[in-house]
Amino acid sequence: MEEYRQEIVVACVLFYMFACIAVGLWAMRRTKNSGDFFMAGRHLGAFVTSMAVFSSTLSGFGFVGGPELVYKMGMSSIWMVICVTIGYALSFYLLGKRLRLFAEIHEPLSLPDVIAVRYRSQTTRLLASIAILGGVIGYLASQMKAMAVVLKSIVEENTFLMGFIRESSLLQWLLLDSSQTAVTMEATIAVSCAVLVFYCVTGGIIASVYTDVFQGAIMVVAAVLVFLTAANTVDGGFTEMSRTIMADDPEAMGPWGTLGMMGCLSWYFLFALGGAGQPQVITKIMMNRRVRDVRTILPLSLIGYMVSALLWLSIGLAMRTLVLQGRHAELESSGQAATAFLQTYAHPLLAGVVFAGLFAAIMSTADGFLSVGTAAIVRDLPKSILERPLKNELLWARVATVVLAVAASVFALKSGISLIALLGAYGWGIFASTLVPAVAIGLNWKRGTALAASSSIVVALGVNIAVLVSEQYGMRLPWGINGGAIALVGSLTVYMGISFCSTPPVLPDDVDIVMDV
Amino acid sequence: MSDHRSSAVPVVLMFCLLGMCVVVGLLFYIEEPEGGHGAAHSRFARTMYQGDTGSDRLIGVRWLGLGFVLLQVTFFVVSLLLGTSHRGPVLGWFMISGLFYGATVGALIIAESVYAQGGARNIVLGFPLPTAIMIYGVGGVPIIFSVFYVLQFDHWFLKPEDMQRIDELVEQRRQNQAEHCD
Repeated sequence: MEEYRQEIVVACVLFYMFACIAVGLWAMRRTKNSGDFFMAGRHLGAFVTSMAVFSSTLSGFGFVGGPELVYKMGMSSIWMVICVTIGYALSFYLLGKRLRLFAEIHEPLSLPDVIAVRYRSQTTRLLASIAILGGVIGYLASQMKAMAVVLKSIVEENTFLMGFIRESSLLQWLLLDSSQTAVTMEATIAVSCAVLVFYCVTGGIIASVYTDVFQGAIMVVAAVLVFLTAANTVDGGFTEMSRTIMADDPEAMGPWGTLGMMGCLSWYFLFALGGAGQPQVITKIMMNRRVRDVRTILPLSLIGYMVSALLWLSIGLAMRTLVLQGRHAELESSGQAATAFLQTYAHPLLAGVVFAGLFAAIMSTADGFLSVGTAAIVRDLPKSILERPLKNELLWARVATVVLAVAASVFALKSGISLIALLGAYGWGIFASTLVPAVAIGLNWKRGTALAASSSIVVALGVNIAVLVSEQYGMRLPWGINGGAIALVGSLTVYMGISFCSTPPVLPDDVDIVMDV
Repeated sequence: MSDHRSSAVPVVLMFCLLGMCVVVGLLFYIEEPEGGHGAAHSRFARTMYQGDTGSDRLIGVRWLGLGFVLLQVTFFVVSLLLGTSHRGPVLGWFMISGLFYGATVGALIIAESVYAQGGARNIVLGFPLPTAIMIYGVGGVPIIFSVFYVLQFDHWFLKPEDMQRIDELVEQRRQNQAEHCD
């Protein structure tokens, strides 16, 4: 079977692509209005919602970016994983029932809809929409880049595909670099963008959540198998991996990795609390059929995430150990850790299934982002500026999907952020710092005001942009602290500070009742 | 409105945030040693970054870091209270769980300070002791809050009578909309 490794991988991925097209077309038939396109008609069961919640959190960021960070920095990035136990609790305590109750009464189609109801302010809705667009571009770019890296690896490793490309001068010109031996990043991102656009335009969020089920199931099974494979790749398993890495650099295997204490703790804060501000995750809580389902969704999502995160830890550690032991050549870039491990050490069928699962992870998460970004463009921006929705919302939603996907592709290539995981962390940071105060705190604290919510969003956007720009000029934050975490602390302080200094707002009766529960 | 959400909880959250602002501010003034958050690896410079090899690079900020993470833990646990109804033994359970959570984080910091000076290198469940405390302890202890959510949902989070109020409100809105359409 080993000699057919590349063919098996390609077959699995192709099978998955056809399955995606089928899901997209099936979902298109079920997508009859914007409520279906953005909220899946609010008919999802607890199991489907659980799978959608956890697989939206992990995505290509975890599949490719996680091993990348462990390979590069040792244990530092594990803080992004272990925070999930408190992070999911925070998200569900603060938003599980509250968002679903808002959905029950007001039937919102997006998070800014909820914000508009809570604060009765179109300015706050507008700012939240802008923030969502900023985060969507960053996070979507990380998904695109992850998909492009995997696609590049699969094509370059396959002699049949490379031969096919070399036979056509047009394909050579379109896909290969000047050496004619490697596929360009631009080409793989363009292909990724095209596939995503087709899938998202046809199926909307319904396609995303049902692919999430497929993806979630693959991730759980594959993570366990990959974990066992990684443990068997190095004699002595994880104990020997720890010893090998410690012999080279004890700090890399210590709890702070190479990033250091303050950097890790800033990630812990950002990723634990920030989960309650990720629109692609929390909007799914509004899609379940019954309010009480959140009680089941929390443990199912948490278990799914924890099992799948084994992949994050095991691949990165195994590859770092294998390189240190001289059993594997040094990688050209740390982003190749996952693909190199799967292409070399995993059983061909497992590699094929994981690659297919990886595409599922990326596409369903990207679909989720495109859905919330599209809702911001065609629903929230017009409502806050024109004070009315667009005519033919569904058509414009599909147009906006194309525009957003292209914008994210350009950002992935031009932002200057090289690591997939750091692109993802940038998107996560924007969402967390702009939405946690207004949504997670604001839906649980009656004293929060519209002015405070708007100000916190502005401060968060300002800090994130300032950090991004300063990093472009080579400036780095001290002690490895994360810019998104600083923005989150700042925006929360501004939100609570301004609210404490303001007259408590008078809330409409229906909002008051939901917040009393 | 539940009493705790209108009283001490937001004040405690505000103090935690101010404390974190102070920590972040101080980090800009405390000089970081070279390679404090990673440097090029001597053999795998293109792809791997390393910290120091066993020396204590955190000596200037370790206790500040402990303060930072304890403020975070307090903020998290008190934030969880915002999402509950203040009835029954919620506060007591949260205080006990929060203290346990904080103690685990404290144990991690202490174990790591020994590790950084060359001690605590024994492997526990596949990882060096401080890393094992991080993964199994700091990662594991907060699961208790999810257990509360599952077991106490009808008592601490959404009582049947609250849900009945919501159902009545939804029904009332539907009737109003129907009348409006007529």
